[in-house]
Parts: sequence; C-alpha cells; structure tokens
Amino acid sequence: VHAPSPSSNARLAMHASNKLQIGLFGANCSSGRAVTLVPERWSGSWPDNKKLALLADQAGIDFMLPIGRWKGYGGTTDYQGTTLETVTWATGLLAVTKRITVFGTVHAPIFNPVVAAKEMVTADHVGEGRFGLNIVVGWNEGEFDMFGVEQRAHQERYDYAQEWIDVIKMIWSDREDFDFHGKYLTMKGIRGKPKPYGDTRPLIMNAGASATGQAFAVKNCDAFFLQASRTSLEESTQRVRRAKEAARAQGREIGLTPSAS
Amino acid sequence: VTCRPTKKQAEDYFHHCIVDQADWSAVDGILALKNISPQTVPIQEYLTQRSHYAQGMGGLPIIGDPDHSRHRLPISAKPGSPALRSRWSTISTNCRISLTR
Repeated sequence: VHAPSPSSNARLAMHASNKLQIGLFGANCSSGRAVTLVPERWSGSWPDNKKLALLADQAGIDFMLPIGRWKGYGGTTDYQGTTLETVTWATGLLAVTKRITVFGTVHAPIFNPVVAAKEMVTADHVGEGRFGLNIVVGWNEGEFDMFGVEQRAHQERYDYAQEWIDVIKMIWSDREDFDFHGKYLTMKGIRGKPKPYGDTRPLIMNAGASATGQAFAVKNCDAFFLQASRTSLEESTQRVRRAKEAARAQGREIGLTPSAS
Repeated sequence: VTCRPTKKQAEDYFHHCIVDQADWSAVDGILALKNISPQTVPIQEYLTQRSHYAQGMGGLPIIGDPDHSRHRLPISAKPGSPALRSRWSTISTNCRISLTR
C-alpha cells in the first residue's frame, strides 16, 4: 500500500540537495509564531505571504511549512485567528516561486482522501514537484465542533490516519480503479489522474509528539517534525538521535525538522 | 529569529515584543487548551511555560546580531548535519538569510 519508493530520495535530489533544510513555519497565520500586540506583527495576508515566499525562494530557504489552523486562540489579537487554507496557499506560492518546496498541512479527519489526493497533485504539478504534505491527525478541541466531526481517541486517530495515507499513496501510485476496504474507509472504483509530478510522490511529514505519533511518522513519512528544546541544544540532539534510531530500527532513514522560532 | 544590528538591540526588541507587548490573554488561552495552569503544574513551571508560549508553540529562539545568529545556526544544526556557513544581513524590518553551503 505504498507508492513507488523511495521516491522521496528522487524528489529530494530533484529540488533540495542540502542536507540541512531550513524552512519558514506558520506564515499562513496572522501573528505567525509571535504572540504579540506590536503593530508590526505578521499579517498573514496573501500579499505578505507572496512577498515572503519570493524573498525566501531567492535567498535559498528550502521550504515553507504552514500551520493548519481553523480557529484562532482569542486574546486581544485573536492570535492565529486569520489563516489561509494551506493547500490553496501552497498552490499559489508554488505558482510564483521557482525552487522552494511548499508544504500543505492537511487534517486527515476532515479531508476526503480522494479529494485531498487530487488537490495535492494539482499543487504538485503547479510547482513541478515542489509540493509536500504535512499530515495532521488531530486538532484543537475548540476547532472541532464546527466540522460536525467527533475527534477519535488518540490511538484511533492514528488508525484512521493510516487508512487515509494508505489511500492517498495508492492513488498516487500507478494503481487505477481500485477498491479500499478498511475499518474506517470503504471506497470503490478509486481513480486519480494525473499522478504526482515526475513519477515521484510529494514528501510527507508528520509532527506527532507521542510514541504512537512518532511510530506513525517513522512508518509513513519522509520527515518528522520534532520540537526543539527551548533551552538545551544537547536535549534537542538527544531527541533527534532517538527519533533517527527509532526509524533505523524499522529499516528507515528519516529526516528531522527541529523547529526554531 | 530576532536579529538586529547589535545584540542589545535584538534583546531589547525581543523583550518589547514578547514580554512588554505580549498578547498575554491569547497566551493564557493557549495554556488553558493544554491544561497548563497554576492549579495543574507548579507555579514556577507555569510561569516558565507562560513565557515560552508567548514566543509561539515551541522552538529554539535565536536572538542576537547577525554574527551571533550566523554562529547559532550551525550549532543548532549539529545533530547529524554538515557544517553550514551562513551569512546574515539585516534588511528593513526582518532578517534576511542568505546561505552558502
């Protein structure tokens, strides 16, 4: 149930030969990553995102990673209350840039996988192979109710996400007209064309912090988003080492994305 | 990354944005979602977390002049990464990074 692999290596070679990848996180959200009142805080508007992406593309930044946020955190500024949807945001940025990779951050529980696969392939063709998927399996409780979807228990979220990413990868593979019978997803005659750009699939990232989430990332993803320690570089080093060892134990090499604010 | 021509300017601007002018009501909303309060964690831990979340949802702050920031990145990148030479220059309102690998 996996797309031709290791396509991620081919894709990395296509666009990003740097072993250390540097990216910008959260530009699609108002205030970005700084919970501040200062008037010059990040707007999150399309013109500013476009300007930032062009600057990053020219300056050598490797990727842009958005935050999937549907409701803000309130407060005086309604922190991250105004956000651009990430796949359409990525598509727009990919259309105006030349070399940077742009991720979409997609909540598996609320996107039909057939629709999501098609949207992401579209972004990937616009960017000629520069789209990446950051898969999210849960979200803030406060955002939950407006979708009319009940958040599953922790383990079940990942069980569902496994089926979701399996379907996505199958659509992106050379399969045609296939059925999928899972515990959560039952689909018939699935077809998706075109395939991702250049006979490779988009890079896939996940940021699960729990042991279950990390196991999911190691099994399914090319990159694991890891929280860097705020205070200790040595602690970050240990976290990276443990994650890489866990991946190697499953016979996989995985890229790490420690966050810097 | 908070980058200014001098270390003091960077530290002063960081303090201005993330302490004096932090949106503390939003920070408290984030902490509430994560069930972090003086009732659930020791007070010192609560204050530390409150300060950290004003900087966003995590990550390693890099605050300083272009040279400091340039040297900080390779150290941060140490786990499994090759040496990185970076050159920073300050433009109008934000930091611009140009990288030479």
